[in-house]
Amino acid sequence: MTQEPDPLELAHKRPQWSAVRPLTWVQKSVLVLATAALAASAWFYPAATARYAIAFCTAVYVALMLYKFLILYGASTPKAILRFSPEDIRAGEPREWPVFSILVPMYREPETLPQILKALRELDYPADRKDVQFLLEADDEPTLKAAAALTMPPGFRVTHIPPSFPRTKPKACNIGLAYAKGEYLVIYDAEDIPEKDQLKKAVLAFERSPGNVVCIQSRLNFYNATQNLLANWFTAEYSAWYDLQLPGLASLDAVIPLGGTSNHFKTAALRELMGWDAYNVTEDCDLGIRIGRLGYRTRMLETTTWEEACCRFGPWIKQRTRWQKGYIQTWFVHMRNPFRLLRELGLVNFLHYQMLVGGVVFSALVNPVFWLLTLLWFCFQPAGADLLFPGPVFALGAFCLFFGNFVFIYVNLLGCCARKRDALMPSALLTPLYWAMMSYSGWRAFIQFFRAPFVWEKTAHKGKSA
Amino acid sequence: MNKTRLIRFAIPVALAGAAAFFYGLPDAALPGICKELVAGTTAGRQALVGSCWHAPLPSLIYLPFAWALPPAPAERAGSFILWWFYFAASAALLTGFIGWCVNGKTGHLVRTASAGALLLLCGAIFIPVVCVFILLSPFIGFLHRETRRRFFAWVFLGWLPVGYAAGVWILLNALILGDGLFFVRSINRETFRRYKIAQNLSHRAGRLADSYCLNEAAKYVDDRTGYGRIFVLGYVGLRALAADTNPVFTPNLDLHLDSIRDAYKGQDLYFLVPRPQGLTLTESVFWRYPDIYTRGAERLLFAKSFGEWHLFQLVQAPSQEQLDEWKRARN
Repeated sequence: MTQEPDPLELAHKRPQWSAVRPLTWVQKSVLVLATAALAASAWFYPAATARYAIAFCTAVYVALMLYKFLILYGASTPKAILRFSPEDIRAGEPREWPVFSILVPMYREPETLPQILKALRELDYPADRKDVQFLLEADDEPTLKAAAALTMPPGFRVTHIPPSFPRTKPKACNIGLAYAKGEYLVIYDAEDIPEKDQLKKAVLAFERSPGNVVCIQSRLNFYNATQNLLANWFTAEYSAWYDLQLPGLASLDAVIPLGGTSNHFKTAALRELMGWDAYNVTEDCDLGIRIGRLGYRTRMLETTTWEEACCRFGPWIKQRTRWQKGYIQTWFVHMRNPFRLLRELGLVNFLHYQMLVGGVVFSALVNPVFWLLTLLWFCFQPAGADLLFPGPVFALGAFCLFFGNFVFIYVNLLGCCARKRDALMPSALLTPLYWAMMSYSGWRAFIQFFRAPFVWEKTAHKGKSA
Repeated sequence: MNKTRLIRFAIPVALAGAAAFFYGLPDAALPGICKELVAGTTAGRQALVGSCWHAPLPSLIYLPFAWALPPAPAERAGSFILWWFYFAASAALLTGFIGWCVNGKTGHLVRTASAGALLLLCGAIFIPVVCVFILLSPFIGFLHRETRRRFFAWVFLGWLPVGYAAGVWILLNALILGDGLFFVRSINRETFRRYKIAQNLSHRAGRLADSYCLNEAAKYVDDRTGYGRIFVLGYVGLRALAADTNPVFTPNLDLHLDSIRDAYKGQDLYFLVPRPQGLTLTESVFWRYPDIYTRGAERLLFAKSFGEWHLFQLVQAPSQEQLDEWKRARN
C-alpha cells in the first residue's frame, strides 16, 4: 500500500520554518511592546521621536541605495550568470539526458492549457525523459474538462489535488514533488513559454556547478510587454530584477529570493528541504532563503521563460499584495530566531536577507510617508521642518531624494536596455507612479498579513492568444 | 605595456591626474558650509547643499569629515578625499568613454554617463569637459555594427544622468533664488576667472584678514550693547566663520530683513557686509539689496568699516522687555 503524500510536511515536521503560525507569541509580544513604546515616545516626546524615526529611515534608505550599487557591480562580473551556447549543448551529444520532472500547477485556467501543452511538447528534450504533471484541483471542473479533451503525449499526466486547506500553489507543488520521477525538477506556470533549450541548459548548469548548487533560476520576462503602460512598467521591473539584480546577487554568492516559476531543482535536495511551505503565499522567496540556510546555493541561468504580465490595475494590486504579504511572512518566519539565522546564513548573507526581504517591505511601507513629507515641504515649507531633519540627516535625505530615486529609475532603464526593449525606456521614466502602486499594495499586504495571512489572491491569465 | 592598454588605461588615468591637479583644492567656503550644515543653524539649508555658487557634491562628500573631526584635520582629510574623488571621477569618465569607443559595451557608456553626472555636480568648472564627452557618447554607438541601430537607447543612457544632475542643480537654484538659471545669467567669464584666481592664490591670506576684521567688529558691538548679534552675510562670511565660535556671529546666506527683525526681537542687530566683488557680487544679498554695501538698506544705518567689510546697524523700536529693563535700571 503506497503512503499518501503529505503536502504540509514542512509545517508538520519543522513548524518553526513554516508560516503556519504567522507570528510566534514572542514576536507578537515584541511587536506589541515596540508599538507601545513608540506610541508612548511619540506622545511624550513627539519632536524627538519623529527626529529619530526620520534619521533611522534615512539611514536605511542610504543602505538600500548603496546595496543597489553593490548588486549592480556584481551583475557586471562574469560569474553573475551561467551561459551556454547551442554549441556547448551540441558538444556533449549524443548523451543520456536525465529524467526531468516538470510541474505545472493550474487553477481555473482552462484557456491556457493548450498553450502550455504546446510549449512543453516543443521543449528540446528527449520525450521519454520528460515527466510532466499538470497539478489540477479535484474540484476545478473547467480545467479538468479541458485537460480531458486534449491528447496528452506519453510522459504527460494529470495529478489531482484534493481540495483542502490551505488552497495554495505550494501545496499542489508538494504533491507533485512526491510523485515526481526525475533527477531534476522545474515549475512552470500555466501561461509560461520557456525557451526550447532551457532544460538542457539547466542540466549542463547543474553538471558544471559545485555540488552545493541545488537550484538554477531562469530569467523571466513578458511576451505582452507593450500591451499598456502597466505592462511596460512591469516588464521594466522584471528586466531589471531578473537580468541585472538576481545575477548580481548570484555573483555575490548571496541568498536569492526565487521567482515563482522556472526554477530548476535537484529533486533529492528539494525533498530534503521538504518542498515548499504550503502556508507561505510567496513560497518561492521562502524556499530561496531555506536553500541558503541549509548551506546550498542558487545560480542564475541565461535562458528566458516568457510569461504574461498582469496589466490591469485591480488584478495587479492583488498579485503584488500577495507577493508583499509573502515577503512579510517570510521575514517573520526566518526572524523567529535571528541568532540562529545569523549562524546558518553567516553575517554577509544575513545582511543580504535583511536588505532583500526586509528592504522591499520597508520601502513599500515607508515611501509614501516620505513622499508626503517632501510634498508638504515643497508646497508649504512649514515652520519647524528643520527641527525634524538635523544637518547630516537633511543632507543624506536630500541625497536619497535626488540621487537614490534616480538610481532606481536608471536601473530599470538599464534592465530595458539589457533586454533590448528600447521602446519601453520612456515608460520606465514614469516608474515613481509604479512605486506608488507598490506602496498601496504594500500597505494592503501589511493589513492582510494580520487579518487573512493565508488568503491567496489568484492572478487570472488568459494566455498569449488572448 | 602594449598599445591597447596604453590607450585605454594609462593615458586616461594620467589625464585624469593632470585634470585633478588643475582643478586644485576644493572650494575655500566648504568648511564653513559643512560646519553650518552639521550645526543646522542657518535658514535655507538648501542653499548650502546646492546653491548656484557652490556645487552640492563636494559639500556632501566633505560633510562626514566636518561632522567627525575638528576643523583643521577635517579640512586636510576632506581636501585629500575630494582630490581623489575628482581624480577617480575624471578617470572613470575618460576610461569609460574610450572603452565605449573601442568595444561598444553598454557598461562603458553607463560609466561615462555616471562619472559625467558626478563631475557636473562637483562644480561649474567641470561643465565644458563633461558636456563634450556626454554629447558625443550616443553618436559613438554608430561606430559598432551591434550598437548602430539603438541610438535612442544610447541617448537615454548617456544623456539622462547628466541631464538629471543639471536639472537637480537648477531646481535647487530655483528654490533658493526663484530663478533656476540665475547662475547662467549672472556669472560672466571674467567674474569666474577672477574669482578662481583669487580663490586659489589668496584664500588663506584672505581668511586671516577676514578673521581679524570679524574680531574687531565683535569688539565694536560688545562695547555698545550686551544684546548684540552680528549677521555675517554671504559665502565669504561663511568662510570667515569656519573656525570662529563666537556666539555673537550668525552666518546668513539668504537675507530677509523683515523676518530677521521678527525672529530676533529685543536684540541689537548688526549686519556685516562683504565687498561685492567677483563671485560675491552675484550672491542673493546683492541681488536683493544691490546698494547694501555702499548705502545700506531700509532701516540699515552704516556703523563702521572693518577692512573690506562694512558694518550696518538695524534701527528698530525697543521691545517691551527692553523698555521695562531700562525703566528698572533708571529706578
